[in-house]
Amino acid sequence: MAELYRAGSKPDFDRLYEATHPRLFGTLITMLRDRAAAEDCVQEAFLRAFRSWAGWKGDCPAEAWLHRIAINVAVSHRRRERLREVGELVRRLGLPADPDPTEAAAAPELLEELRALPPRQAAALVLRHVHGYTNREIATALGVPERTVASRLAAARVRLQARLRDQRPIPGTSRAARVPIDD
Amino acid sequence: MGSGNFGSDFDGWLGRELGRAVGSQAGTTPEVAKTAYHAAHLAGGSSMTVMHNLLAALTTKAAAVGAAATIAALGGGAVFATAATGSPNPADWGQAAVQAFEGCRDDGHTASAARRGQCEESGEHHAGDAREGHNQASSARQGGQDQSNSGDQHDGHPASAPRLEQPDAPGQRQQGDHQQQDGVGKQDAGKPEDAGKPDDAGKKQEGDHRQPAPPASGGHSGR
Repeated sequence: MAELYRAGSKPDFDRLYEATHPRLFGTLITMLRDRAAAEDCVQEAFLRAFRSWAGWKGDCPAEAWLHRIAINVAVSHRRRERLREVGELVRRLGLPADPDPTEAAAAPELLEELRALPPRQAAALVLRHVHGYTNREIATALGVPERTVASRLAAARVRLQARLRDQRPIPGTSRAARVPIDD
Repeated sequence: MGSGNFGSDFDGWLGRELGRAVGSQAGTTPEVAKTAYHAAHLAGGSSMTVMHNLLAALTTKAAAVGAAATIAALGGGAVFATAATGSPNPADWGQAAVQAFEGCRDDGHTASAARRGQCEESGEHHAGDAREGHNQASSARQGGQDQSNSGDQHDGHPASAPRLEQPDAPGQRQQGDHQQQDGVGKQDAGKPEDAGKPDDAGKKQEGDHRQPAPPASGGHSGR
């Protein structure tokens, strides 16, 4: 059922927050390394959205609009994360990193593979297969034309399928050695 | 999980597994009172943002008008001084003013009081500040001081032209910075569609410049 929200209304934004936080978190957890990062980015996304709430025109579903903000926040976060990783890589001078055992236990294999996809492709898959978004809503959330969504979803499926089929642990390597791709 | 066993129905398998994987990561939603946006709301929140934008816009315009007025005043003075001395060099303007009063002083020793008055009046007109120029030139004449000393202690003429070379640089710079900051603020604020754009403006975001078609549901609605 479509929820009605009034732009600029704090109580309505609170309702929006309550209704959408779990799904936003669910999307971002597939794009980011860990739960803490996902929660930080969700909070940052709600903060940014709230600052623009008074000017929200309601020309798209509020949740898709929030998703768009959250995905962009997550993409920025991943870029910064990637820069830090490069710094650490240089510091370690090629020594393989030991995976965090708690992280490995908490993150299912599929999530690991999703996180290795370009973040917007991972988000598109989650929006479609977990949240049940239409192509139009995914287009709004990703900030791309609707016609782009289908091709992006198809590319994400192919890539994920290939990664899942190819995944064979190579002795002496760790998951950290698999370099995620940014778009 | 059986990632290699998704068979031909990959979409179905993906939906089930994704739901399971994401569900396993789900946590509790923090209370509204503990959120960053609520804290921002308590601290002034969106209304502060609107006020800030308004203030920034007004400040920018006021600063622009002020800067234009300053430039006009300085430019006008420069045009006048250039026309009077025939030289665009500010150093020549100062020199011309010094010479004018040197001439007055020399005349003062020989000419009548009436002539001295004319000369002073001419010099004051040249400088633009009649009262200050008259008083300081008179005291300098009476004391017999060396007119080549610091311009600030003389008649004001030499000091007035070099001032063109020394505008209130710190003030102007601050003004310029302020304008720039305001400009950034204006860019950042207000546009709901830009609220969450990635920080890296240098990297092209696919579709960021394109507006997605509004969904059929339209209106002020969630999902």
